[in-house]
Amino acid sequence: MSSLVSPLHGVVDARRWNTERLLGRLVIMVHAAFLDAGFMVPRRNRRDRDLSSTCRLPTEVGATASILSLEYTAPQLLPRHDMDTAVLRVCTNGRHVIFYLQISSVRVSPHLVCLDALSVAPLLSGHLNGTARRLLRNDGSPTAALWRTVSDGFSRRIFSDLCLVHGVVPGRAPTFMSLPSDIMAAILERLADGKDLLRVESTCTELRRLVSEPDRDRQLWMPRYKALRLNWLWWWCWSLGGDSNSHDDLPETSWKQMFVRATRRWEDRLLYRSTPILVIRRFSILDELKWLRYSFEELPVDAAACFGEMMTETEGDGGKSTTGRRHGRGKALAIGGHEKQRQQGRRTRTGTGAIHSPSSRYRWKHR
Amino acid sequence: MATREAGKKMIMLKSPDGMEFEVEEAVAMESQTIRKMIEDDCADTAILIPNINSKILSRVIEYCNKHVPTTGATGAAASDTVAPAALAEDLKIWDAEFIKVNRATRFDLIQAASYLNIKGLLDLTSQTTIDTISDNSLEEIRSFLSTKNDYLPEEEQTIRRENQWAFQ
Repeated sequence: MSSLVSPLHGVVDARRWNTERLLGRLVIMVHAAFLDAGFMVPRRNRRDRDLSSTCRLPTEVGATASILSLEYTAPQLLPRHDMDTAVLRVCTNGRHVIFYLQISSVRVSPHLVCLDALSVAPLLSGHLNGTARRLLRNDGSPTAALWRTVSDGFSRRIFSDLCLVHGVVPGRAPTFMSLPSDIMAAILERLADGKDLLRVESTCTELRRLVSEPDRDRQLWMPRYKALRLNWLWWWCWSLGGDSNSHDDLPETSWKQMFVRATRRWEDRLLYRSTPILVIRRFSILDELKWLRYSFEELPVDAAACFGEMMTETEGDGGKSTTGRRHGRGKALAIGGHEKQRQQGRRTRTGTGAIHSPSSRYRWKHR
Repeated sequence: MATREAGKKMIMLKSPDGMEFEVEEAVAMESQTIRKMIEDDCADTAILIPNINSKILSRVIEYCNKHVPTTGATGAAASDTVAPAALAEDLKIWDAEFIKVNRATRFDLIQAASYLNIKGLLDLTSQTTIDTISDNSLEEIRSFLSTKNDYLPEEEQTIRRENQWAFQ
């Protein structure tokens, strides 16, 4: 897949570029500048559905340059019956090549640009890829200067004039990319699947930049991450333990990375481990058994804190009952299962049950 | 200029290409932007809507006309006589027909809905855009969004690797 897409590549391929003479290459470059400015070639024939005709050039354009007449219009004018067009022609005067363009309904002197053929010729003598790359460089090289002269100083100015004359908004045909960035983000925010957002981000550098801006990252990825955590909160606390701590205010990396990591872990677990599926979906007797086992042996303490302290309310049954309510998400010290069991037993003996009310925090003799 | 026609206050909306649209005030006030202008008494003359050409403005007015809560001669809301569910279903079908426009018009409508702050129209156009993007390949999304792959080969490889999960 070609990673370089320049205006030149949109109108010509390498084979044709190589066969064209230098004057033809110059006309092709000017044509590319017009299309890049937002112009399109009007299709007079309604049955002509060939999209490539929007950038069609006559064959051997260099050999026929003296009789060349290329018509352009602004896409904004297409719905109109009195659609106006601009006609590009070319002539030579000594060592100079002059491109002039007349807007058909406007009685003003034509726009023109005069280029020195001897200076321009060496700039276009290379291969298509190299020339396209040099044209788009943002430096003071002669090739980049030539592109700026033709594009900014000629084609874009004419496009703007044509739109102003007809009271339409200058600009390219509206696309997603022509929307303001906050609207783009608001639309992307509605994508239901995070994978779609990743694919959109992968399409081009501009969208990647948009999505990865810190504010956008928070806007686009944080709600997904939070929704995921809410959906699978129990699962998270259960299977991943310490991951339940809140990262809401200061993400370690980015919300996107956190979302992707969390989703992938979930998918991996879902696909490659068979046991948890049986256990997670519903709380069954299997869950209860597993829960008991996790509570006293394997469950990390901070995950236990997340589920709340499960203690007996009644004195004297040895603390074996595990019914109780979930409280808060306080973090406890990391201690082993047996130690926890001993601690729980001590709490039961001293009558310090679950902390439901202020009165239950103190034994009777201290009240 | 705001005028009265058969007891209804009318508002003149002007597009930048010189077209004028006379609409009921209630219809114009479907746009929160225009509503605010009217409420702040900034709209006693014709309101110029910049950046929205006549073609798009006429579509926006068509949408607002359909979605404005209608009242009968007795003052009872039309929704009192027609079942709300049936009305909603009717609007849904109408919306589905309304949004069958080409891509450029849809993006124009998004921009217009955003500028005029018409939530219903913005929701409709945005959701249609999202439906087109969802579950499509990278190339299809590129084509729809009219973007070009401007990554260098090594950048593209990095992104592929980084977002590999999305391409599985």
